[in-house]
Amino acid sequence: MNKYYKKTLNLLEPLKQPAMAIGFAFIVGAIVMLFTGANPIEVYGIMFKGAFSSQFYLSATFAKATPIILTGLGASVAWRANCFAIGGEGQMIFGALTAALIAIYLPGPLWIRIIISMIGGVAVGGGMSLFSAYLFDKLQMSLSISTLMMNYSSKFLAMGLVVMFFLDTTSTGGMLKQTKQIPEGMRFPRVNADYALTIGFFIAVIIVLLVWFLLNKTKYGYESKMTGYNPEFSRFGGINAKRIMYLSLFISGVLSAFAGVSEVYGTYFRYVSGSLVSGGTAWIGLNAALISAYNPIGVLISSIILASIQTGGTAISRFTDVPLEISQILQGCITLFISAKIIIKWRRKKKLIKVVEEGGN
Amino acid sequence: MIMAMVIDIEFIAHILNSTFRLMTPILFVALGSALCNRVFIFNIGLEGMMLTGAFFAIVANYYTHSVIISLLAAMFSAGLVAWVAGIFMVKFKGAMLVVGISVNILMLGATTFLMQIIFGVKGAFVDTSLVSIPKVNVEFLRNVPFFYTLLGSLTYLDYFAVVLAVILYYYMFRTVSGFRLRSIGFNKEAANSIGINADRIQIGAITFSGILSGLGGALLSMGAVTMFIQNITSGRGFMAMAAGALGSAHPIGVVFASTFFGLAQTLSNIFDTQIISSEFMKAIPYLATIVALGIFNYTKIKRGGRINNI
Repeated sequence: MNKYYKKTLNLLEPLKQPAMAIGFAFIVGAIVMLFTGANPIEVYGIMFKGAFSSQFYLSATFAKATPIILTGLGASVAWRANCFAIGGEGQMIFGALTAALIAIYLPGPLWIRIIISMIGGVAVGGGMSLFSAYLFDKLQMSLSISTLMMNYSSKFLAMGLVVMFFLDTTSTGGMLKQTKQIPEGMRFPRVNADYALTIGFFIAVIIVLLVWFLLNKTKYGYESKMTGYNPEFSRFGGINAKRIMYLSLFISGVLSAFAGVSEVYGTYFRYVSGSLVSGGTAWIGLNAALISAYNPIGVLISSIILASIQTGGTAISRFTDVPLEISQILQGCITLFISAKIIIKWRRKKKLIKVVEEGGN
Repeated sequence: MIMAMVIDIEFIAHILNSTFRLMTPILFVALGSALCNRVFIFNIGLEGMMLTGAFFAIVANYYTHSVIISLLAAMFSAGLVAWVAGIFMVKFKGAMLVVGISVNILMLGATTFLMQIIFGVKGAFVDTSLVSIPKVNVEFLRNVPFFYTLLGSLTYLDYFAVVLAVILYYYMFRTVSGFRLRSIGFNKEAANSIGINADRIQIGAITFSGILSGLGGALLSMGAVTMFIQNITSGRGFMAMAAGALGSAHPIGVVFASTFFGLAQTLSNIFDTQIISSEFMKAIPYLATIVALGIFNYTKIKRGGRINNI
């Protein structure tokens, strides 16, 4: 009995920190709401209802979670190998644009176009990520700076490409900077015609499992984990750290780019300039990765939680005077509190040493 | 027609003037970033701190119509955010990148949130009662068109940015306190062992970088234009970090690096309005950052130097 109790406790251990951080963040959020004159309990109630209360809202939350899961996985793969890249946004943008353009303009049977467009999209994202790896490897350029700059340049370059060459002038008279729509037969089918949820979410869940397998059951996964823990040690252990870095960043870029592809196939059915940036999807994905300590299953759960904060936030802004940005405040607070986890880990380690010492005596 | 404009000497003065005006907000933040680098802090939250300063400058401006109070509000608010970030980074040993990113997301949300609560608008806030930072009067140069354009519409704060770089240079390299500060960047443990309170100095440096970011932000929202736009910084804080790295975290080097970014932005503006009206040009400053850092690092590595990067 005691053994099972301990086992479940061990299983719940990784949840302690995220749960505390989310709790703290909601307290901060409540204080913010009090200042605006709203009743936090009521607002959180609306938020919960707006995220989970009906099939409609639930499917909206899952649809919103899809790109967050994918960018979260992308960030996890890179960050756990000590590659602190934050280029998810740029990779998403060019992944989406490439996939959309191939889907629209490539002739041939639909299924071939789907395959080529998806491969093209993720290849571009992976390539961008590899470029930042190259800059770090050969020119010692900080990954965070190079990827950040690529995010901003991608945003404007993609916008420029759409405006100059691929603008759809028929639907809104060119008011919205967007491409034409991809053919109907190529889109992700919806689970229920009335709801936003497509098979994209389930593809994302399958990818979660694949990434879990990759990180936990393969040589690459072990090596990247070791590199993340201690680069020096792993080098002595015969791990080719450079190979791990290139590989991790490539996989990370592919996953983030697929987030963009899934948005094209499942949400917008075209590339809409700015749509992938305005929601801050890639940043929320990074948050999901941080909350879950780079565990793929954890990314899935925390992405759904973060997406529910988003859909719930939309409900708040519709039914109360509290602005939508409360969700950004909550998200920022969660990661801020998550970041302080090292101190708790350190305390636990101390306790562990004590236990070992006592056991020895 | 374009050629005639390019060789026009007044056009050159215009470019230099615009470069200087676009350089100074970055310079303030980049100096803060350089200071952080010197104490081994990678402060990616400067973007959010700059945004904080830009916003609270306008808030104070709206209620008091005083430039001094607005600037103080910008410095205080951004400094406060930086202080909290510093506590999380140094005392709670939070990963610097994570704390910084959190600050950015949090302040982007908070400023937009407060803009709707305080001003009741979304997107942008502008009001005729807002005052801007006073410009240095150059009427006496009216007869010399080149200098009149070159030095026109510059605020006192623009000049102060360069003065501050010199002061920081003197502080870092000519004072005992500056030496202590730099010693932390070399080896925090060793600095601690000779009785330097490294934690306190690191938090102090982060706070000071926040104060400078606040000034940079205020220059954005109260300088050339007097308004607050959602996410008005749009990556300038990140660019300033790049400038800090490009200038080797040396105040005078940072001035040159920031000038480069000012020029890149100017060129993107000029091309945008005169030759190709396109979004492509807006990508120039960010692409230029990658190219410039690449060339800089390449030459440094060739000479056998080491680059401190996180």
